[in-house]
Amino acid sequence: MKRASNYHSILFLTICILFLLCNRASGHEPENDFPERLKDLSLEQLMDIEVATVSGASKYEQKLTEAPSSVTIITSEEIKKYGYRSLIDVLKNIRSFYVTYDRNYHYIGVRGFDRPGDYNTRILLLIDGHRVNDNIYDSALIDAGLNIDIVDRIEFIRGSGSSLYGSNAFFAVINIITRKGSDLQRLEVSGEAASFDTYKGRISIGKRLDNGLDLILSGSMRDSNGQELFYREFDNPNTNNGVAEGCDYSRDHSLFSKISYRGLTLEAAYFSITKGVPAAPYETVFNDPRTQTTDARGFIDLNYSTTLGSSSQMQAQISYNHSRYDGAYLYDAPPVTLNKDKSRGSWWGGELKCINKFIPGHIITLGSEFRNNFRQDQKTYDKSPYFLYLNDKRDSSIWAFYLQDEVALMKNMTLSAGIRYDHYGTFGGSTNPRLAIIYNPYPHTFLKLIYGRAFRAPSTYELYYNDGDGTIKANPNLNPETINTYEMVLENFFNNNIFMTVSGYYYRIKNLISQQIDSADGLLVFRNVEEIEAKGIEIAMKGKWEDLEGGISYTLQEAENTLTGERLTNSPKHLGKLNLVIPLIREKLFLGLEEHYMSKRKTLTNRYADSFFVTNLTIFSRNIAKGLEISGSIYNLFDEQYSDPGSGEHMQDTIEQNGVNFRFKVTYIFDI
Amino acid sequence: MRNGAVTGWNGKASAGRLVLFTLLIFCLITGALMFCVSNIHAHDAKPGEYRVKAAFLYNFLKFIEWPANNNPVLKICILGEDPFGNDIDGILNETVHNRRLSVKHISDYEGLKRCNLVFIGHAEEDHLAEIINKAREFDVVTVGDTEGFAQQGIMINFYLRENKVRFEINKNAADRSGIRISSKLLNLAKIIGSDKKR
Repeated sequence: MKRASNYHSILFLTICILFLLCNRASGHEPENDFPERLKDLSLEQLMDIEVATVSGASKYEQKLTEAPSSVTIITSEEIKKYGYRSLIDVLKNIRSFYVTYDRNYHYIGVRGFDRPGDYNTRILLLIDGHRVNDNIYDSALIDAGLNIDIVDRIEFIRGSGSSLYGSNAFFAVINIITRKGSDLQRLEVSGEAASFDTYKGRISIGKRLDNGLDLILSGSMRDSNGQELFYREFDNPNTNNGVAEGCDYSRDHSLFSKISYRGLTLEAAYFSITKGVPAAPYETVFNDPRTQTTDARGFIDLNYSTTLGSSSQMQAQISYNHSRYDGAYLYDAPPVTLNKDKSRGSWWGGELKCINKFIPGHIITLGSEFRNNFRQDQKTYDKSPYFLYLNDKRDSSIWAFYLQDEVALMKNMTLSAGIRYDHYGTFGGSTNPRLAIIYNPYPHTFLKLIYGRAFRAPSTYELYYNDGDGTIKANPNLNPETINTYEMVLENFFNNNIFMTVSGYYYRIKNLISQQIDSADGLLVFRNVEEIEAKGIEIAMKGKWEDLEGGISYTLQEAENTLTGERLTNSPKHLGKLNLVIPLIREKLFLGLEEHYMSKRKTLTNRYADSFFVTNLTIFSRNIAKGLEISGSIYNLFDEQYSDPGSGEHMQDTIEQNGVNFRFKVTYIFDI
Repeated sequence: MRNGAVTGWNGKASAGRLVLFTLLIFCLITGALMFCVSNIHAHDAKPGEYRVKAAFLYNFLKFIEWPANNNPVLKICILGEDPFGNDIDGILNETVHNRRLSVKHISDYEGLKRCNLVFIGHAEEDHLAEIINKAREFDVVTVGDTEGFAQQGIMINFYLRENKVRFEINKNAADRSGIRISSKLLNLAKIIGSDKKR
């Protein structure tokens, strides 16, 4: 660890020195040559000139500053230049967020909260505004998803979003916005080879036809053999001396299509992942590749957007969704038995939204949503000898109304007030307001004061999962969790190209659902028992400067259990992120560098997972040969050894993460 | 603790790391030097987006005809938030068809009366219908650079393709007013139809 941090110090110093050097080397005002020349050019000549565009952050300046939240947007250009393989890699680089991995699933931590064993239920994940969280676990699946190459941008909207989105918009809403056919206008064929015998392929095609029909189609597949992993906790001759061989495999694939014409969009997506489970949680047999989980999601979404007159917009959406989970767990009862754990969720839903401006100075949004969960099935059984533990079939429905008004209080002050009421068949209703004042004292300075309340409905899993009262029992009387968040955000744009933000937050969670042991019968049960209080301060800067682009952010956060006064497990006090893109050959060759720092985190046994620095490096090239994009990435460049806290089902207190690994990627582009 | 035999970094760990580190520092220094050197070649630098768009506006005026107008001044108006700033200065006081070019910022739609061409910024998106109606009343050429503007009735809309400025023309919008756009301009543009029949 020590040697690696010496490297990191030298690295930081070098970057700082280079920054200063380059600042002094380039003091030119090259644009003085242009005014006279440009207007003398013909139209054809003008159309041949490459322009310096506004950077990613400011292109969305209006989106960022008008939103009653602290928002971060990552663009497809950044995804290429930093070598992000999936949403997981992106999350690791976003202020306020961090990711934990137990060699089976990745878990999203935000604002100091990432409880080991939880299922990403406190983040709402959207694809083009469509809810991805399933209806059994309510979890935002990030291990499988759409191929990141067809993503146009990802919006990270921090704060309590239930006043617009309902349940699960607890800590944040993540919206993945896909590319359009008109952005592509080509056929892309992409192949990747990476460490641990990993291969990935993708074909995407997109085009906008002359009649206005926009079409995009994409499919991708990935196969990885994974690594041989050593776990000290299983270092015993009868468990292969702690070595799990052939258990870290993963296979995933995704399909996506989007057709739009005028205001109508039809979108269909499917993605799935099968992962081996090498860490042997839940006391499963160690070193057996038959223990695995498969998660799949699919949906078809039809969306119609239109303007009504000159002051209203209407949006209607209807969708059909399906989620599938299949777990296979090998236990040594004795005898060695395969346990199957399944869930099937199907739902259809619709949403109607109206945005009105007929009252001057007010932008009023009125919406209603409903979801019919016509299938919420959970089944658990041993294959042979056959024993059925659980065969639970449910259905439920949810309906909701929401209202939001953005009022211009003064010329440079806006009040955004919203409220949403959700009705659940299971526990009744939940009302969640949000109030935000956006003050714009100078043209590019924004101060936001935000209060929001959000809720998380108990999931079907928490309510009804039981194994015939063998070890775990159901609790249909669960109530939703609630969170009250207070935020103060200062945002400033310098020179149209640099975005700076300072923000502070405080939140309080009540009725947090936790699994406990009922003293009466010794069974595990979910109950609304915990209360969490947290506060944090964040500083970030992002933008383009000369030809360099990048960002830096720092988070100081403290989260504690109010009943015990203890700091939360898996909650780092400090998070630091740095990223930089240096163009080596303008518009053709780029060097992308990322640095992540996470301070130590408490584990379930009150020990600590050490702090760490991880460095990622990507060289990305475009059009070195026509129509070719090539990139090479090294992740965890200095082979930092670091671990994430395990959860209750693991023997391991901490689970070691990947050392240095590589990826090589080639994309062929054919214009059509 | 990772068992060296399993992962293959046994014994070579520190040497390998040193090599990678040196490689990284080398890449950074090379990169920085290349980028510093490239900045010294001032004439290779790229002009700002709005400097180029200003030059386009000047050119558009050459290929557009308004109904009979004897005004010696050709006025370009910028409605609302101004993305050009100083970048428009390059075309000030130029002459097109013996008329002098002037640039004025307006915030009121009535001000369109005195404009020949109006550039409409992204922030005006919500009031587009009203602006287009007023512009048609006074035979003003409408120009924008926001996605979807052409479909909503703006006559000429800029867009970027591979960092080069392009423009699309909504021919119906132009035909409905008294404006005549020369075929020279039409041939270089992407022609767009309106989304709605008004």
